[in-house]
Amino acid sequence: MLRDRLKRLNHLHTVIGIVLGWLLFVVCFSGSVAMFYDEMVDWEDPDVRQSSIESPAVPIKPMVDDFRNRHEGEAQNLFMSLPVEEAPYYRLFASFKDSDGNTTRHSERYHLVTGEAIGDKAEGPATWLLRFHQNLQIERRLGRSLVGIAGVFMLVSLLTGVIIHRKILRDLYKVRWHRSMHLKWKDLHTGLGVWTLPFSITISFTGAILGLVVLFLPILALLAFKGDQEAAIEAVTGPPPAPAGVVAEMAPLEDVITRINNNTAYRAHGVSFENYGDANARYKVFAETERELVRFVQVDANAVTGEYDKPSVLFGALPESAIGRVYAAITPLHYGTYGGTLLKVVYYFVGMVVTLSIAIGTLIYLERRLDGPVGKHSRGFYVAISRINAGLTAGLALASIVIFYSDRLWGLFTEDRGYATALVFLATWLAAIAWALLPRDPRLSARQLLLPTALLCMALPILDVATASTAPQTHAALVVNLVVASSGGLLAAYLWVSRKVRAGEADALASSASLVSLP
Amino acid sequence: MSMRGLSMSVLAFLFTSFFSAAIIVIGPGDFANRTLCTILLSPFVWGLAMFYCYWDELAWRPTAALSAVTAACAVVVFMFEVRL
Repeated sequence: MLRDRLKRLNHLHTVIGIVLGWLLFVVCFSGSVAMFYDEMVDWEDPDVRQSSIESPAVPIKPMVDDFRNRHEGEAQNLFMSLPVEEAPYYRLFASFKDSDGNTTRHSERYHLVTGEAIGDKAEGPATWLLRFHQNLQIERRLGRSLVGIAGVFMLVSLLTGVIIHRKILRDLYKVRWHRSMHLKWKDLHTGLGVWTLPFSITISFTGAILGLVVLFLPILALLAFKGDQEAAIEAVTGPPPAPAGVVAEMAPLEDVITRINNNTAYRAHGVSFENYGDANARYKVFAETERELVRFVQVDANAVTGEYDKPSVLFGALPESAIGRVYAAITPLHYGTYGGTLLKVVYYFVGMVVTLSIAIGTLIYLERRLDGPVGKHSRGFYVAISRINAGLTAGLALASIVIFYSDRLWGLFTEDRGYATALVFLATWLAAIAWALLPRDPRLSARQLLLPTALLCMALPILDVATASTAPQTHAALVVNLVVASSGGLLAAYLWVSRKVRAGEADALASSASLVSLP
Repeated sequence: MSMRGLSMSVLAFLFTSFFSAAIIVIGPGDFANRTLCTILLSPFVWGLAMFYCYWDELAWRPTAALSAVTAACAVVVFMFEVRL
């Protein structure tokens, strides 16, 4: 009975791996890279890099007025991000609703010192990779839901993986390097999976929550609120504050921010404007924290008097309860924002190990069908799948680094920057898959794709210094240069060692063959 | 697709949706906490439902159990008003 149950759970583990293996690989890889989103944004815009950011001294009201006058219609969800080292400029975002009821989202950047509009730079490689992780660059709701579902399946895969490996602790350190390829991969898959298990559970659970909110909210609203999604949200967050209908002079926001920065333990990062220009206006100031397990700390201020409330770790309108606190911890736990740069580096490398473990799982499946007794399809079918797998996995890494080069070298400071990034990314990825489909050993194709990836990663600091020699090497840019270069170094070292090992194995095989042929 | 596969891919999702909605409609505690708790538990509920489909020795049992609970939750969702 136990044997049958383990067989069923093994089947479930395999089915999840086959159906969602590539999706999980893409999500985990892009998520690991997107860990340095803030730092990459700074890296990709050397023309606005600043080595230090002082407290805001520029009057903010003219910027807000200028932004509202630039676009037709009523500004909704007005938000301003304040200058930080990774993004040393003011940036205003809002949705503008025109007379026909159409809503368009706009943003504008303003100079740190002069407060003048400096044009908005379209989304570059960092945002592309982040969006790719969050919603696979498809329609937001569908994409996020798919990623959330992948998170749930990953949880099930982890649970079944732990149960089907009966001697999990004994096998923790076991890698049979000198046995068959299948056994090597099996040991690596188990070992890497177990070592990263707490991290994998955390990431898949928090990722599932972040994705499933988008999927379940309309379903729950449909079932419990007869389809009224706004009523469902309002029942949780409370009604939005109503405007008084009386025009009022706003207190200078820069003064409120300076007082919050000086008198609290937090540093303001952004401001949300509620009922701006009205007597009931509020500034909702978001401050970053590296000491609390929350994404932001919120400080509410009266926009007319400038008085602010006690900082709250429950941003938005989360309830003051243990559950509210747990919910607030989901985002920082997923993005590793609660422990500074070092924690992000740990998240990145462990995330890459999880990605590798997923890739090895797919290889085990294919190896058993190519050279083993199992499999319902022809060998040609599995060979084709192996080639696509090689192109898809190695090509993703190559495409992810190529977009940084294309963006920097071509100077795509245009409205089409996001489009150009997408084009280069997808073209590189498809070319890599096409390359891997050529009739030869897929492992050779993967190595041929990984070698330029490693070289491009190692050369990234050179590109940065060569093309942005006058820009300061900020902390953020330095982190990107070091992490990417060291990743490239590790990949190159792996390729070198594995080449040596394979050459050794080939020699051993050749000599044993010659011994057999001796009279 | 086998009965287990069908239960895992379709029924487990329906079960999670109706179970979560039923908790929101009549569950204990205040509404905001109840909703957040449901969202937080949904990956586990869904995951465990999928896991159960392959855990039980008899293939029909998870299908029957999940269908019965889903139906009961549907009755709660459609018969009761949300307790705010």
